[in-house]
Amino acid sequence: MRRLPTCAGLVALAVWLASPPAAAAQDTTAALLRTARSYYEGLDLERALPLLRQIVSPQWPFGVATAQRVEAYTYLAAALVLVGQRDSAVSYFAAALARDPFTDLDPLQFTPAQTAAFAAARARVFAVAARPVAATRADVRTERIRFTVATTHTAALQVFLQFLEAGDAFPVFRGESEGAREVVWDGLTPDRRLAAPGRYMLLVVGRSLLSARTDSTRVFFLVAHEAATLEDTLPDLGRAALLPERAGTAGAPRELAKGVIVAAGALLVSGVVVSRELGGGERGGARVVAGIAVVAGAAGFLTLNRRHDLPGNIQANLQRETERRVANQAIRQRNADRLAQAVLNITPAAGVGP
Amino acid sequence: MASRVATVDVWSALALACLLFPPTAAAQVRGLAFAGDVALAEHRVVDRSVGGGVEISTGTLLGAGVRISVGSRWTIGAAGRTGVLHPDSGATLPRDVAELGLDGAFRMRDWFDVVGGVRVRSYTTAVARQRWTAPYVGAAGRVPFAVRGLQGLLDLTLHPFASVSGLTHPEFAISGGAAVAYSRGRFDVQLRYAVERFDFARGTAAERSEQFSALTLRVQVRARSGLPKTTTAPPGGAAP
Repeated sequence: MRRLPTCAGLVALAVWLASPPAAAAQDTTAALLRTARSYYEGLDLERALPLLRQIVSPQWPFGVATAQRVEAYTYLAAALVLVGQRDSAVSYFAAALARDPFTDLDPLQFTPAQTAAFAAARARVFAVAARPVAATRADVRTERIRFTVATTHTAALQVFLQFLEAGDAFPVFRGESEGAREVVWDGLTPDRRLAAPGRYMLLVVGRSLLSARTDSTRVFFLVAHEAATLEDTLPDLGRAALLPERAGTAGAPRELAKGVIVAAGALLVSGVVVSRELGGGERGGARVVAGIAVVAGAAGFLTLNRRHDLPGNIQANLQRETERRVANQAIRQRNADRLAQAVLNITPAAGVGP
Repeated sequence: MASRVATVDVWSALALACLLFPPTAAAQVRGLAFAGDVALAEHRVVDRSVGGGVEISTGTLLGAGVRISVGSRWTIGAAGRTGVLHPDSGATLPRDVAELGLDGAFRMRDWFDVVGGVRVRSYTTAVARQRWTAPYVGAAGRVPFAVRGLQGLLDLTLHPFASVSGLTHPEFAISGGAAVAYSRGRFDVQLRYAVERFDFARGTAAERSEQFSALTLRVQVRARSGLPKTTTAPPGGAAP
């Protein structure tokens, strides 16, 4: 009865050991790959080869990233060249190229025999690839957006861009290519408009000139316009901001008062000087003079109250309008400059795949 | 007969004024103007010693005058007028009126003058003749309107030394007037209302009051520049 817990613990330990977390597994692969590389660089090929074969073996229980697998194939092939197994080496180089067409050998680190075997492998396999688009900010007036594509050997290469929300694909490169190549896009659509914001696909299609095989790959990315903060133009000058351009003279009401004073004087003379006992005194004449005085005051009021131009205010208003117009022109120019910057923000998007 | 006497008085006074005008002042004369006027006049008298109520006479007076400006502030004028006042109520006889005035004004401000002068007037009927001599002093003001050439005129004068033949000195003698004047070119037109009042022996059985009022239309032509377009002088009296 006491053996059962012991057996269960061993099984659990075995399961734990058999199913490590993915990161830990890749660490294990990376550690083994580093060990293999150190053996390779020490020309201890007999120890390096088993380790590299372990990594690329379907029996290897741990996770292997594509880059790790490509590196393992490459070093395995290089080691095989050194031990004289060129055909196997070419096969492994081809396996590395098939998985990553960007794979290349540095002539300073590898022997001519190894690079020759690698070249032979290039001819045997055909694949195209595109690097994921790097996040970038580009003012398309002066800068370009760059994509990196590759073919394993000479091919007729076509690189297209397609706005996925609308529109057909349009080419950004057509021609022969071998190895890695940088493709440049000016950020414009075929009708010379700035690329609309949205999701785009970079489509790379290659046809081998050696074997007539074709291959393609796609990379997705997002285009966004950099939001330009625009200034508001100055509003129209309202009535409150403008001086009155026409007005009557300020002394107009005084004219009415003058008329009333003279009229009152006439009536006062006829009322005060004239004897009450005698009466009369031609008061009708006083009223006539008083009436004419009132009319004269009204005429003076109308004369002064006649609206006339105020040149000073007109000039001041013109000055204000001119200043506003100049300021708005400057604001419009600055806004136009900001809009014309046409800065595109490029970010990688999900969906990378062949 | 009475009318002829009055005309002689007017011309005599004008001749006297010309003689008295100092020759040195003539050199400073800057403006000369001639005026003619027509006045609707009313004369009222009440005399308690006589009884009979208020005597009213009305009529039209015609006048002429000359005015000169001396220096920049002085204006001197002489004017005469004559006419007949017809009995209206209480009066029985028509009265010939003849008047001669010598007037002066000194411009204190653009809108204010001090005025003074003397006015000699005679009332002549078929049975009697009465002479009035009324020196006066007072003030006159101008009220210019915004309409070019249009202005109002106000004046008030006292007659402290007025004398009337056959009567005592008046205890209260005052005159006032108001006018509206318009100037254009060399012509001035003025419509003026004025009234003068004389009270004699107030509070006694011989109390007498006389009142002379007129509505006068005057046209003036400036023969020489320099005279103010519209002057306040002479403000005294019922006629301009």
